[in-house]
Amino acid sequence: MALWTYVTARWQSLLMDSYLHASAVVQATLLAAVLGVGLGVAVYRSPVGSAVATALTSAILTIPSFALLGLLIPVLGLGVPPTMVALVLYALLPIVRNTVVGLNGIDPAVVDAARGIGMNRLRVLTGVELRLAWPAILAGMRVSTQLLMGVAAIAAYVKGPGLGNLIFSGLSRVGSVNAVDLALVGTVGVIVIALLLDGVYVLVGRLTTSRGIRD
Amino acid sequence: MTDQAVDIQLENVTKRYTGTRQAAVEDFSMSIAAGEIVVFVGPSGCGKTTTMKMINRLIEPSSGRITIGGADALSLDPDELRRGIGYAIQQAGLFPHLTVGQNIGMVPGLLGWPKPKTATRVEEMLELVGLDAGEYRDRFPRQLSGGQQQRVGVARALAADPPVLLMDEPFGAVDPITRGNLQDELLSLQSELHKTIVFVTHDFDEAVKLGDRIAVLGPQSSILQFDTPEAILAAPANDTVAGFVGAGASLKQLTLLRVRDIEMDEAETATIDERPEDVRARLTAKNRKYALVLDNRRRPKRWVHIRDLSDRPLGTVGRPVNDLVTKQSTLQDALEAILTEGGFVPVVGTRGEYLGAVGIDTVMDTIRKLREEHDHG
Amino acid sequence: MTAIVVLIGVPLGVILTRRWARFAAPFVLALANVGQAAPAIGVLVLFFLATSSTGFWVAVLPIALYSLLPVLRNTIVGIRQVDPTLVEAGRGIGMSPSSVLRRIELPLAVPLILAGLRTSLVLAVGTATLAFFVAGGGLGVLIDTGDKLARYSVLIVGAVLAMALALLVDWLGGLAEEFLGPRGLR
Repeated sequence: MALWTYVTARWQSLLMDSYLHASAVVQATLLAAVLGVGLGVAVYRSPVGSAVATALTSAILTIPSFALLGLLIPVLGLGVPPTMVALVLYALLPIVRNTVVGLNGIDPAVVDAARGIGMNRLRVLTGVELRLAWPAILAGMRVSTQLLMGVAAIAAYVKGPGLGNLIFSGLSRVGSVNAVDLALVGTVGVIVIALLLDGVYVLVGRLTTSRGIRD
Repeated sequence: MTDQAVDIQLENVTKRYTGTRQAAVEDFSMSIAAGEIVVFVGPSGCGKTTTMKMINRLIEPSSGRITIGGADALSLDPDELRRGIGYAIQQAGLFPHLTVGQNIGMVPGLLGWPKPKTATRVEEMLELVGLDAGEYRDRFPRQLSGGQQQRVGVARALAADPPVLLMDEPFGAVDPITRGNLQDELLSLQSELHKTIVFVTHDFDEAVKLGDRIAVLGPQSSILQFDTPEAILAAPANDTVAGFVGAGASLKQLTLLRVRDIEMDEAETATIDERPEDVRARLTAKNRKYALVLDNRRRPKRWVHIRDLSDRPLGTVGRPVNDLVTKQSTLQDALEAILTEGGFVPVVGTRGEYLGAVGIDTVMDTIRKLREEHDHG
Repeated sequence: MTAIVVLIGVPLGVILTRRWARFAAPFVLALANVGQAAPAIGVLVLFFLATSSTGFWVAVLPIALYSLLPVLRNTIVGIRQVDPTLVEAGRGIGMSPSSVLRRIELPLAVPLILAGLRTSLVLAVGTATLAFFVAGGGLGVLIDTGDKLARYSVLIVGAVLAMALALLVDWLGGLAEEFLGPRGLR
């Protein structure tokens, strides 16, 4: 019962934290999508380039988020900058990898035909290749978003925005009445946002994928 | 609205990939006349596709000269060049994320045609390849059968009415029956459109059926023989060609066999004073495309396609029958006649009356059987 | 800990692909997905607050639970993606269901199971740096101390060590994938 009173009493600030959490994750994903797709497009034709890009981004993903955030403190200080940098870096791998896999998975006959009927490189890329790789790219963004939800929670340690702050204040008030409530609300809040955003991805996927290539 | 057909000249065209000792295509020269179908046939890896792709510069020649209708293809912008050359490939290469209509309208769109004109053109093209525009325009490629996809591929290649058409094993991935139908349709399209067509295949039977002339290619795209199908069948230039053609022996037997020795096909016949709509109904009911028009003494006079049938009398539509065989003719003669007639030749009795017909498929089947007997005996 | 994860994750995954338990698989997978969406730090802190005890085991248990998910999921997916014709062929030449499982399905699922294990190990290393929040020790202590005292050299040493450990574990995981996977699939 105490939990419920807590939630209703702090409704406004909870919503604010949730909004900030979601917005940080979404912005980071979008930024990572621009960078990741660009990188994917730049390297997908060369097996060596693809391998290097994938290895590099996967190495970043391997780094414990807390270690990366810690490393960014001396460089960028506290608050939003280190949070965003860390989030974008973590989001890169799934997007880069799926862009490369998506672009390489296209039937060569389709690209051959596109060139053969006189589309130029840029047009083949934007009109055919990226359109066909889009479901894969979107799936990569979806994975990235899920991944970032957890990382963003830890980012509260570097004074980043979002629901992680609730978890950390719960931790700092260990033994007090609402310590568990705070941590619980923070954790469940992240899960709820993660599921909501996942639903949004399904919707966006439906709306932006041609019926001709949808499963 | 068909553009004037153009000729294609390849002069000393060579393709050498860096890091390989042998050229992929070595010093290839060929003159392709306006409005003819030239088939490149040869074993896989012989460079026939590479040679074809140099015409629309999907592969850039290392050296040599290519002119299309007198214009130097190598000095044009490659993308502009390709928009003026139809291109149809194996498995159609349709864009899966676009509808059939958007696929066909792609090149007109690239050329900046106004939307309504493109839309009309798309409908015309679908009808031309035998697909109902209303039913198929808004479908996606994966909702079509393999044969329908190939038809759309051909429609897309023809959409901007290019004078030249390059076809890279366009019927390679469909079942033999559909394949035969698509070949027949291509021939009847060609009889209307008179494009200059370069067609690549590894199937010699397909080459014989479609080609005005056949180029049998060897390693590095060397031309082993370049001649009409009947000349190549009758006199292969060397053992390699003979091996590829499949059987010098069986062809010799072709001159020994008579039309009376094989089972004749049955053409759909009509009498000259019959009402066109009756003929049309009969063809539709039997799902056939051509009727042979006989005069009052049952002598074959004209071939009419179902599309030729309007309200005009049968004696004035279609094309005249130029060549006939009798039951005594050799299969060799029959084959030649078939090749000039296009698919079928009527067989007549002593007073010139219609007895039946011989089709290319029947002759090819006979050749195949002879070849098998030869191989096993 | 790895052993615990494998011992629980793989059999559980196998059970969920059997015909009689298949109905439960979507629920477990959904649960696993929700679990994955749960922030590690939150799970850790909640576990700590709920049990109100501290130390090594308080950190290890949630980490183990957390890293169970990739193994569990990859086991299920790995067995499901085995070509049904192979299973049929196995049954066809007279193998019992259990020998089909042991000699066809599991070996073919091994690469994915190993990949899941690798993921979960890397996750575990990452989560372990958070263990100090619940007094579980670990390299996170160095990072936190360095930050609190503005001794960046300590922070960097901690972070770099954590990174190095993660990369090492990932590399070892990669090696394991290479040497333990069935030869024909390599």
